[in-house]
Amino acid sequence: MKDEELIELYLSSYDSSYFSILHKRYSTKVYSKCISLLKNEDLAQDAMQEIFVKIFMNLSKFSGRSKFSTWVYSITYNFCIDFIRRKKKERKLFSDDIENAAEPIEDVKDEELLEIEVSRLKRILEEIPIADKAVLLMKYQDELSIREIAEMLDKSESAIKMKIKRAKHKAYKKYKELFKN
Amino acid sequence: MSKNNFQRLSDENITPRAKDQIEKTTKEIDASVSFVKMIGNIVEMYLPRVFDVFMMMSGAQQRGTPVEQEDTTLPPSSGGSGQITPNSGPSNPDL
Repeated sequence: MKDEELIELYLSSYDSSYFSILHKRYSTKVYSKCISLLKNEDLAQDAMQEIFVKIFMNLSKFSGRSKFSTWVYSITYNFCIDFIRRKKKERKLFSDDIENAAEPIEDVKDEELLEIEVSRLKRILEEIPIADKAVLLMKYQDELSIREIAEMLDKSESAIKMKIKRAKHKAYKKYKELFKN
Repeated sequence: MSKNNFQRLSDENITPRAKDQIEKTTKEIDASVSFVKMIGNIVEMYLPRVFDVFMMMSGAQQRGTPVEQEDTTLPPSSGGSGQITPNSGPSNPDL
């Protein structure tokens, strides 16, 4: 049964078993994202619980304009980014103001990033800023479109394209620093 | 569909400990959802009555209860007041 059908059934009957099915479908993916971004199993567990409560409380607001999975990931990323922002007191985590515009950006092909071995990729993603890591995960792990990422982060599509380009550049630069020298 | 290395990385995050945590969280969320549903049922069942109680406390009659009026047409022995009021007789006394 499709996600949207389950939501419809849940909202018409308020039978929690329908929500449990949705939860089972997404719990692993949400947890994986939380642990990638928060880097702590206990924090990831707490975050996952809060994210699903948020999804449950806002299920009636899901308009169906995007896929349910995109909506779930959007809540997950925004929750984790907010959490880190609060922790670091870094108010402009996704701000373009803090980007070093003067630095030349190398155009990195998708294949070059996708060919990096998993353990090395993990190390690279731990070393780059969280905002860059998040956009790379959205693009390559969740395979979201530029438009979907822009909606999730409330940015323009051109800003997201630039953000991804910068993130790819930083990731590949880190790869060369760590493994090519 | 084959997975790319970013997606394989996501799979690597799911360690045996992570599986236990997911299982634990699933149970907690199921319990929360059931609790919210129970509260919803209670509110649905009792809220109209609470409203009635407030209405009664403010001096109004309970909803659905007809306003009791003393039947002045009955004699005192049948529970009426026996008093003749202007509305008790025929509407036109000349008839």
